[in-house]
Amino acid sequence: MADVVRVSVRRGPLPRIRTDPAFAIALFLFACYVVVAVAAPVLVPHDPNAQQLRDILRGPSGSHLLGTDEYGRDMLSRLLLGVRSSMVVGAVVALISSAGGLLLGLVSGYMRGVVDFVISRIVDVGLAFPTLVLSLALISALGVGSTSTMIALSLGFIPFSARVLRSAVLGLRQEGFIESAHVTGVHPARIVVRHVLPNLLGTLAVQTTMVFAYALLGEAGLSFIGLGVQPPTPSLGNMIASGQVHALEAPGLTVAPGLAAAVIIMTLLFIGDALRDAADPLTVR
Amino acid sequence: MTFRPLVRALGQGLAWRVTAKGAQTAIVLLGATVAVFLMVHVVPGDPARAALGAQASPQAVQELHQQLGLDRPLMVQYWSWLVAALHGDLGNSIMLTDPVTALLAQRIGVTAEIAVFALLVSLVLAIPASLVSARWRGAIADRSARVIVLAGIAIPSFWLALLLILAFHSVLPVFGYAPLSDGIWEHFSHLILPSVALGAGHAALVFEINRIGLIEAIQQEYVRTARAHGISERRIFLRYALRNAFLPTITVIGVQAGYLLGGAMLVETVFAIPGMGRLLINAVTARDYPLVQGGVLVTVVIFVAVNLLVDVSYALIDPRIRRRIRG
Amino acid sequence: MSGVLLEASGLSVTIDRAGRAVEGVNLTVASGEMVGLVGESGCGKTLTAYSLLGLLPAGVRAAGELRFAGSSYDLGTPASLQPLRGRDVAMVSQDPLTALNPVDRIDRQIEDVMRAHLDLNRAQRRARALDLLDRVGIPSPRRVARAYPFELSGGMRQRVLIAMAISCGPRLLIADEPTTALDTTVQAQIMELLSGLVRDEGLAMLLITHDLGLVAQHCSRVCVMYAGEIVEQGTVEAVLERPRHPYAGALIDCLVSREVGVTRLSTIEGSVPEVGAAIEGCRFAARCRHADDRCRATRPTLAPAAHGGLVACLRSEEITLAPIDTGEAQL
Repeated sequence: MADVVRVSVRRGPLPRIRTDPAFAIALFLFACYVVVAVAAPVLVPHDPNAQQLRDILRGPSGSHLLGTDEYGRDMLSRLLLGVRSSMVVGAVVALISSAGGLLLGLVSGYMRGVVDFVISRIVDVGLAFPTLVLSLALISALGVGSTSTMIALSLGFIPFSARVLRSAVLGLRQEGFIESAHVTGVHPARIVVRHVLPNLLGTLAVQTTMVFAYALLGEAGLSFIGLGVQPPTPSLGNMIASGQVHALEAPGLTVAPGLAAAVIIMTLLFIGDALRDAADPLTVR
Repeated sequence: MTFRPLVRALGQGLAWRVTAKGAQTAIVLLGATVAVFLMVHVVPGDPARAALGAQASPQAVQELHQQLGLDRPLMVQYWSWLVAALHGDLGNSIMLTDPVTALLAQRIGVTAEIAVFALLVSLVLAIPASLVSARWRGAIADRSARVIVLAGIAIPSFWLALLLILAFHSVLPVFGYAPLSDGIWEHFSHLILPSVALGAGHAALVFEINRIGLIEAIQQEYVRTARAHGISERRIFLRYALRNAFLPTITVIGVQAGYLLGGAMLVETVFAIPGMGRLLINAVTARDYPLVQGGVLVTVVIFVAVNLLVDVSYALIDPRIRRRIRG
Repeated sequence: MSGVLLEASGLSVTIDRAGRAVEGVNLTVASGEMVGLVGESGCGKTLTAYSLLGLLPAGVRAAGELRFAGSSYDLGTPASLQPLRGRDVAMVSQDPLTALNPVDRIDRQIEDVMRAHLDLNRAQRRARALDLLDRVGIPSPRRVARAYPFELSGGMRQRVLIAMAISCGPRLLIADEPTTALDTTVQAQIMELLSGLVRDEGLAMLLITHDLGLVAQHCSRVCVMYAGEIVEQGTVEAVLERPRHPYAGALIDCLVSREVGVTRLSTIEGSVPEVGAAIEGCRFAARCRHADDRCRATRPTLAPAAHGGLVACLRSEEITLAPIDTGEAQL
């Protein structure tokens, strides 16, 4: 057995990822969504809220590439702005929960002892709430709207990020170079900044990407049931909900925003997977 | 001589671990009650005002305020809420005026049923698929399965539910819920599409975990032993790899139980099924906080209980742990 | 050699993205004979063993021909070797601690092997499993049969694995470092059990080991492997007493110094070259005190040697291999 296992993997992770065409496609898709999120207001062909009641539920045409909705509003314009608001929610949630998770994970994994115990139990409690259910509770307290959605989802995902980052920190503490920095009396804060943080970047990137994906799912769900982004501001979730009513006459109204959501979520999951594989080439895939 | 005394010592260690697990669960549950309670009470604004709306008269708000005991100190409120909750009293719904416990009891069975059926659907889809994928790893079937998995996780269950309605509305009932008393087919036919919509995404997760477990298992030395003795590949996968891979899969199923429950609430709304989902969503919109608190608390308790159950059943399935508990 | 049972010719093993790990190995085992295959770890012994049963992991490929009991098989297509496994050739693995399915009882695992090859009903299989456990020297077969692997010691598990291996009456047993993972006292018992099977039941055995002491005690012939090639082979007496290859000589020195109990332990400096390393000439030259320019330029091939076996060394006729002198280390 020993003889066989000795077969070493001597490929650098990043070169492999750079040459992977699927990864390139995923990055390109992600970039497209980012461009739409940033530039949607200038990209839209029509005023997304302009109602043309003579042109309701029209199919695709030259002036309305994706047709019109039940108020005669241009679907493409609404879709672009829907992508924008969903992406904003997703990105904010991903950043907040990564920052929060990083802070908790660092403090918990680095201080250990009582601090770690207390933080870990709080994280346990957080993990006992399914994200959607936690969001329902928080939104009932905060009121509906996109700010509440962001707060609720961020709080929902922090425990996950905190747990992942804590174990990464614990793993790093075992490493020789950090042990030796301790032994030689380097100030803990300096060790964290110089040695721990740079080594957490990989885990952090994976975690942020994954939370981004799940936050988009969460936003879609909350907006779908009317507790997230509120109409008339379009978001992928509330567009699916409003299209639902006319699903049989104009399936495009639900299919298009759902597809837009599925594509970006899938893209992010794929990128997250690829980053994880790159960070840890030995995991079975 | 054969049985190492070490096993005995480990057995005692395990009893300790089980106790520790129980204590941890208790801490989590207690913490969850505090969290559920605080969510509503720490947020600025008067829950009574929120529930009654901006137009309500100050007297009406004041009345509800007192009726709900909101003028008492926070600790006192928490304590009386907790004690009542332990006795099965979660207060009365503001909008429906019925006891929360009764409202939840009517609905929770439906939601749980959808979650359980979705779990079954996911196992039926995922386990055979993961076997095929791991058996012919890297083949076209495996690679396309992995793309389908990403799609399965990425596609929102409620959107899939809508697509299923579009595809099957002429064949299967797509709205409402039929109790078992309406007949078995009537009952199950209403559950098929919701379960598939919810189960598909879950299947993707189960597939992913079980496939990795299988691949790790077939690289183990005991599989090489089995192969060296001429045991067929089919039997190796079913008897050796699957049984070992399924143990971690069960853990994941437990961890995901809460999400299945949450997902069931979303899917319910699409199919207009009268479960916990619709009830809670309306409660959130109406800021009916006793109902929200109760619903959230019950969901969390179920989730934690399922996890504990999974832990116990894991111990029963894995002989390494089972024997230590007995010994 | 009467009645050649197994004959592998031109056996080579290639690891994807690394290169050749075993090259041009010819190996024969006669009926009822115990052959040792020795070398340091990393020299391709285990890969050779796995390739004989088509058990190489993904990404590792074998080539060559195998003749077993008159039939011929292609080592390049692992599936073609399936009929041999368990039925005619069985294997005892290196690590008894991981070689049994952790979630299945012992009797089920032994019976599973019989189920694949023998036409017995459940009761017969059960009875035979108990009988086998008894034959491999397990004191209370009934209790052990109902046990799970984790409840047994390493030595017990190795006995169980031997019981599995002989359950369908194979003619050849491949034992890959069967005692390495075990305590010293248990090692001797397991070797005694294995050589008893050869002695009393006419089983042939290919013993893969890094321990020349075991070979000296139990085998009749020996093949010395270095960096994926057989560098010397012959009867145990010939090779151990009059080695003709400097590597074999060095291995024996290591053994002798240990047996004699001298305070200075003889070792071989350097290590086995990595798989796929481009080496012209003799692969051992870099570590050999006798190597000259010719050795570094020309690859030696196996040729008849003075002791009646074969040796792959250009200078084997010129050099003398004196005991305990191949590079020394302070113990």
